[in-house]
Amino acid sequence: MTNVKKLWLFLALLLVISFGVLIWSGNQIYQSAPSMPEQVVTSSGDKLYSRDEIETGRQVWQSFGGMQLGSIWGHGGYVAPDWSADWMHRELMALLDIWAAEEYGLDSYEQASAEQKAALEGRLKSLVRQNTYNPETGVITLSEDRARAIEQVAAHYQSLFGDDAATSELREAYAMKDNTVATAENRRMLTAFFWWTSWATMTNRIDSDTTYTNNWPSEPLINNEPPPSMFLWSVFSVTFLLAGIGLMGWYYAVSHDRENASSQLPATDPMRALRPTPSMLATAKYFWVLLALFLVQILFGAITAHYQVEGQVMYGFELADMLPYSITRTWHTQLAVLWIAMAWLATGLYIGPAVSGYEPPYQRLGVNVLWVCLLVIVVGAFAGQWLAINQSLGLEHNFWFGHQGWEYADIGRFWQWFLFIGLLLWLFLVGRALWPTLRQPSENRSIVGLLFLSTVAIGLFFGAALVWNEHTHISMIEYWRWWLVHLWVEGFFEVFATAVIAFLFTRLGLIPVKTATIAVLFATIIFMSGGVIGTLHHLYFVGSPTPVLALGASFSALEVVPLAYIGFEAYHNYRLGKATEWMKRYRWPVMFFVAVAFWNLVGAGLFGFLINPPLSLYYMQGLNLTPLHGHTALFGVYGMLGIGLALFCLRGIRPNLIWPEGILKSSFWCLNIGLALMALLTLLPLGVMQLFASLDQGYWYARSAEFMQQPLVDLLVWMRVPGDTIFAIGAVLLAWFIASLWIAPKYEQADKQS
Amino acid sequence: MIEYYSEVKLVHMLMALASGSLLFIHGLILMRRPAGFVANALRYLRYGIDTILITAALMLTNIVQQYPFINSWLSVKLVLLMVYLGLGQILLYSAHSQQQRFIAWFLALLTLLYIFSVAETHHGWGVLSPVLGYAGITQAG
Repeated sequence: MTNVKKLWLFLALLLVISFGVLIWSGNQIYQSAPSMPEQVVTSSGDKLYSRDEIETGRQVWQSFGGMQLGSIWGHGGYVAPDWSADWMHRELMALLDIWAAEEYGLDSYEQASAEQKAALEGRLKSLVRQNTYNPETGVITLSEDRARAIEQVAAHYQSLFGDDAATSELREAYAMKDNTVATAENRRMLTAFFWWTSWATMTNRIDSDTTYTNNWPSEPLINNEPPPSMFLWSVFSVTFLLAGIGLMGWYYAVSHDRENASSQLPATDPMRALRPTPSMLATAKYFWVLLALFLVQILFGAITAHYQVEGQVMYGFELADMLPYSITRTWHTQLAVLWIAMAWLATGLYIGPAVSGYEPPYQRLGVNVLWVCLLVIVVGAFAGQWLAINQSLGLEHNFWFGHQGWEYADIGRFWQWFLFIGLLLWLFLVGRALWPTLRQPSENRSIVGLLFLSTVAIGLFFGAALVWNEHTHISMIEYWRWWLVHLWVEGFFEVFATAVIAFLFTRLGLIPVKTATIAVLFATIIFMSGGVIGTLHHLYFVGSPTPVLALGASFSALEVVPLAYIGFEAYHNYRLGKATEWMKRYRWPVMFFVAVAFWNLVGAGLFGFLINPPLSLYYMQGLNLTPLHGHTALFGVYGMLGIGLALFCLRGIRPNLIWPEGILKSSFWCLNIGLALMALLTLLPLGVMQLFASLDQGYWYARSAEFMQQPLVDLLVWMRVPGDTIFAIGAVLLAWFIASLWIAPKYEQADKQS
Repeated sequence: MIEYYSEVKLVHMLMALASGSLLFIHGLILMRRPAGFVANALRYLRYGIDTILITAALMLTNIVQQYPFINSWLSVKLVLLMVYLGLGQILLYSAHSQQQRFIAWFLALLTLLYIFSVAETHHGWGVLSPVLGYAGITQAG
């Protein structure tokens, strides 16, 4: 059996085992998810909430943007609080105030002496952590005092989500528009859902001394602190990481000499002989659209960031009336995925016929139809979200056509199906173009097969977004949502990135096909060995039991292992960029690939691992350290790759042009420096400040208006301006560069004469 | 943010002064030796200073709650800033002769001085305010 065959077999085995474990974990989460009561009643039998109200409350929450405005169990936006942590703290304080008045005749708990406080807190702990859910009747029974505390908190939330003047300052601090929820009845339902998510964070599982969310979030009032298993698996995760780095080091030591560059480098650029087919030329419009989406994404990012200092206003304009924070953030995050995905799609469509030299019938028509479909999806889905956030769509239409509220998967279900069908069409178009190469036994077949498999996975795994429905348990939605987000980003995107870059270098004749095939297969095995089960590291606090936490901690640490050696890849790519004289034509695509490796190390590796072990994430989830990782990994790795691929394809689509490289050079450095400044001047220091607050006073405080409205926090948010400005200039320069290829093309001398 | 008003204003003024001074020096160097190392270094230094200048300006608008397109003197400042940056670009990239460079440089300096006067008077007519009968107005809506 050849090395390549062995690696294929190993990869297949690894995927079967990994997905088996992932599905088993899903079953574990399903079994141990927080109980959903049929009724919540007081000890005297009065009804507080029903299951129907809790579920409708969730629909209300989804309709105004869900995770895009504040967060639940740490997942979502960062300006408004985490509603479950916020509710918990308010309810606990309300209960303590009630008891302080009843027991000691005080106006509030704050007036109590140290002894009195200790007594009240002891009582509080035993009351709220006790699980009063009856599995047989489906009823949760609460004390009368607690019911009064809940009513007080519910009144606060009903005021906050309406247009009550008493909470207007808080709305501004949270970047909420007035009447975020349009009707009083819906506001009441919303409190049912918020209460339930909070109940899960402070109530012990039946027969256990940890809560449904593994004691997340930290709350000193009721000893919500990391359980021992979290310490244990955090330490083990670091140990696994070190072991993985050691093993990889050994592998590189024994194998790196074997990976030689081609001894016979081509004298001229082999890609120049390629004559773009009509369908390849038709992909040009994808690159124009992705640039437009990228620019719009930056614009909405700037507005979203600005709302952090002026909650409803943009430099004097009452912008929140029309474009509130929840919609600008929704579009900002959604566009990031869309334009990067657009780069992937276009590259696949361009590469298909380029590899096989075969233009299937009606391929150009297919490429054009898909492009129109994508535009319809973007416009239709975004319009639905805008209507939803303006509360114009009604709860009955929201799930299908409005805003699902699940971050990165928040377009309406109808649009998700449309996109899924679009992705299947894309697979069909790429597959039929690659088919002649895949069918014929050749040296190329393995690497092309891997490239095709990663595109199949990208297309099919979007299907995970279609698994949940309107009333699926939130723990299970989180499970499937991370199938989509994590497996795409930290699984198949990584494989696609590795495969496509290696493939392009083989087409340029810079590395032998066999070497590239083995390297890519090996890299895929390494990425997938941590990446698949590593999905579980997003699910530590969504109702998962300890084994799921242990698996997530251990395997997600392994995801960082290949990133520790990414410098090899960066240098390898950089060297190939200088391998021949004609490679100067590809200098900037290659530089973007080098940037991919850099941000893979910094954004995905360092900033990713910073928040990865369970103990770290316990305190850091949903703080600004999360977008630190998000921005530097998503744009740094996949954004840069998308741009690099776009440039590579544009070289082929417009083959005989002299590129205005000065513009591209400025764009490259602006994008990288801007991203670094964004991370270092704002997100990192602000995240660290929040971390101290979270460790010192509890998670709720790190996310509270009290903390986030400090002058120093405001100053740090303003420090985003230099980085964001430089970054935006980089994007505009990139757009200018690409536009210039059509508007003011400069032809090479020979072509001009011809 | 009002707590940082005086510091932000100081940074804004210092950066404005640095931007003008560097433009003056940069122009002189560019007219003698356009492609030298010093000219390049100055170019990047000016980019950095202008970025800090604009950041401080945006922070000030938020602190004093006065904004371009709402308060006319700030609208004038913003428009002139665009002109100033445009002239700077011409000086760096588009001007091909000594004469063109000199004109761009001179006009950029003139624009900057006028921006200073608008900032000082809080009036769109800036230094021309007394001539046009707007003396004594320090803030315009």
